[in-house]
Amino acid sequence: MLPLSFLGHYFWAALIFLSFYAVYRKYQKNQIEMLKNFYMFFLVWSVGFFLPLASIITAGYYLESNTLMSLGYVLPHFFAFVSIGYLWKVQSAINFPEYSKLFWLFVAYGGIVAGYGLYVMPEVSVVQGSMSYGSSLLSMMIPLGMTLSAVLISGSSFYSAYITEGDSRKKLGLIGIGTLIALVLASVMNNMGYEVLGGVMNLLWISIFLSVVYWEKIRGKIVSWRS
Amino acid sequence: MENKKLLQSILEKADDMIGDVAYGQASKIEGVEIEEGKVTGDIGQRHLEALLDSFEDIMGEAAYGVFRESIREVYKEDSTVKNVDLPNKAVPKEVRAEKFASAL
Repeated sequence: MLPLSFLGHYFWAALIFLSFYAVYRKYQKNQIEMLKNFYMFFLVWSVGFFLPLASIITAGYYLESNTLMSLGYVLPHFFAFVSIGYLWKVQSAINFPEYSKLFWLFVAYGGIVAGYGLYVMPEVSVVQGSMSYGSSLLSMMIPLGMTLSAVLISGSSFYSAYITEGDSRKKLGLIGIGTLIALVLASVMNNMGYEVLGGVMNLLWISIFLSVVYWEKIRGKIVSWRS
Repeated sequence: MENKKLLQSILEKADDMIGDVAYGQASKIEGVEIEEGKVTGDIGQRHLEALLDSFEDIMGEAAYGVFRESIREVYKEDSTVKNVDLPNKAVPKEVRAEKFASAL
């Protein structure tokens, strides 16, 4: 029987992939670069991070290979930072077009995290159905990188909300809140081993982002429900 | 429609900075017709891009400022101007933010 924790990772991969598809459909209607980078955030987070995280660790678990378990934890985090880089690209296109190349800083940090992870190969194990990532500097480097990224990206999104009005302000504000939850709360909870709370945070930020994507439909339902 | 309004606004702002050269440069672009200071003809994306290139050669970075101010002004009356596809630094932040949020 697969530990619940692994199943959770497959579930997040699927849900975030659906979010990618929802944004991709919007992109098909309006092919602007910012939407492309937004869907790339979801695509890389799903296919580059959660899916390999789940599948390599699953393989390691069944083959009883500590090396595979460690690789399954370390390597996908490179793509997590690449994915965050795409979220930065969205914000830089709005507020800081001259700093769009900072994308490569996120890629580089992901490379440092993965490189250091390969060097220390943290011991990844399953304790009473939950993942344990051992104790290494990596458990600090990942949430730290994500928190700093969140401050930068959500700060930019809140500023965009401040300079716009109406629905745009609400959508951009929600993206800022969703970013903070995804990169700070969910990341810290999961890396500290609080998987249930981490899962709740994942559900929360994905719901917030999806509510922005399906804004018109949700608003229409609320209006018809009120009347 | 917004392209013509935008081009008109850009030329008026550029006129304050470089005088008649602004209209002279615009009239050199194929498809742009100007009669007594008013822009006529079917103005498209490529005309705006060509004007931005031409102004950049003359004014440098200030060309982007002229475009930003004009887009900001036209946007107050016609929000469809947000759909104009120009380099990011030629479009005001709030219009770029609006473009992204409304496309979602």
